[in-house]
Amino acid sequence: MSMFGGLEISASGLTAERLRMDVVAENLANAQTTRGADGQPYRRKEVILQEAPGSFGATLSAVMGGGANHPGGGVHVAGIAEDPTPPKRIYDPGHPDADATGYVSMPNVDTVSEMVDLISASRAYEANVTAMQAAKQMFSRTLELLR
Amino acid sequence: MPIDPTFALTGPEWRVDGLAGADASVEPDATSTTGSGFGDLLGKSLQSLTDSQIDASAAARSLATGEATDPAAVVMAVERAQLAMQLASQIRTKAVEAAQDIFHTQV
Amino acid sequence: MLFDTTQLALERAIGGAGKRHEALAANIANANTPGYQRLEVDFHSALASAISRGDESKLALERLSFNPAKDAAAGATRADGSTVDIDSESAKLATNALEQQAAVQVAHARINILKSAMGVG
Repeated sequence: MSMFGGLEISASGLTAERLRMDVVAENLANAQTTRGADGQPYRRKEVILQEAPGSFGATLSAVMGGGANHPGGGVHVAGIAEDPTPPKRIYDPGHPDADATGYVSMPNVDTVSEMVDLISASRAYEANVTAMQAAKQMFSRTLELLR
Repeated sequence: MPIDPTFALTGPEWRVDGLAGADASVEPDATSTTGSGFGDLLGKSLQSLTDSQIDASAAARSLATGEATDPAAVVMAVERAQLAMQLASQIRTKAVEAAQDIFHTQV
Repeated sequence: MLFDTTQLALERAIGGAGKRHEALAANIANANTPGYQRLEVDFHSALASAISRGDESKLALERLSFNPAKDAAAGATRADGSTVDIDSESAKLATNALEQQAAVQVAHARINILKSAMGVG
């Protein structure tokens, strides 16, 4: 990791949380979409997050040194997956997409839990911004030793 | 008499070594000349300078190991050491100037 | 000044705080990663044990390296097994930044002491 390892780690956090917020926004926008691109009701998407491995150099020296050294590399988006929960079935015979029995398959998006995810992503985003600012301050203070 | 603080730069802890002839073993007696009285005073000042440096080092180390509970105490110790050193430096400068004045006196 | 044990200890403290910041930043970045175990760097106790070696302190300090390690003592804060609590990580981050600042200022002051002893500035 370069001198600015802390900044790169926080940047990865910002990217991940921003993506989560975008996915929540898409879920909320499509909460009533009964006819998606493939003709099926919209399926809720979610972001899969993973711990990122440290840089190659850091990981190599960790393995060679043995012991508990675990260089953190921040977070990494493993992918965006669809929620496998089946769609909600609402009885609404007047709906254009109602099936023979009068039930409509609505997207499996729960607005309340999407809002909770949005709040958590937003708080985590702010915490990452604070971490980045702290890293910048620490670096510039170290430079002040030269004054 | 020039002040010569010598620093043991490669030692475990740097310190200000005493004045030649102004160590604590000089006994002040009633008939002593002003020379040794002044030397004694200077020795004590240097000792307090050294003590302030040692205190500042101990405070700095407690900060590094996380044992410091009162940041104000650490700051004050370092500040005192800084001021003591500046004072000693000024005294040295003045003493050197005074000595030079004496040497330049036209006889 | 740059050769004495205290100054070396302060320099290593500044470096240790930097490493701890990386670990805490990684924890915050992984605030929402399921099953994530938080990282920590305990540079204070590493420094304390290096300093306590007496004559060998300088060598011990020079050899010191700070490594982020999984914090085994942390309990799960969420149902998915993650041990990260974003508020506590943010508080630790702020504390760490202040400790780094304190160490930098004290190191700077000691350098100034040496400068005034040398008669510079």
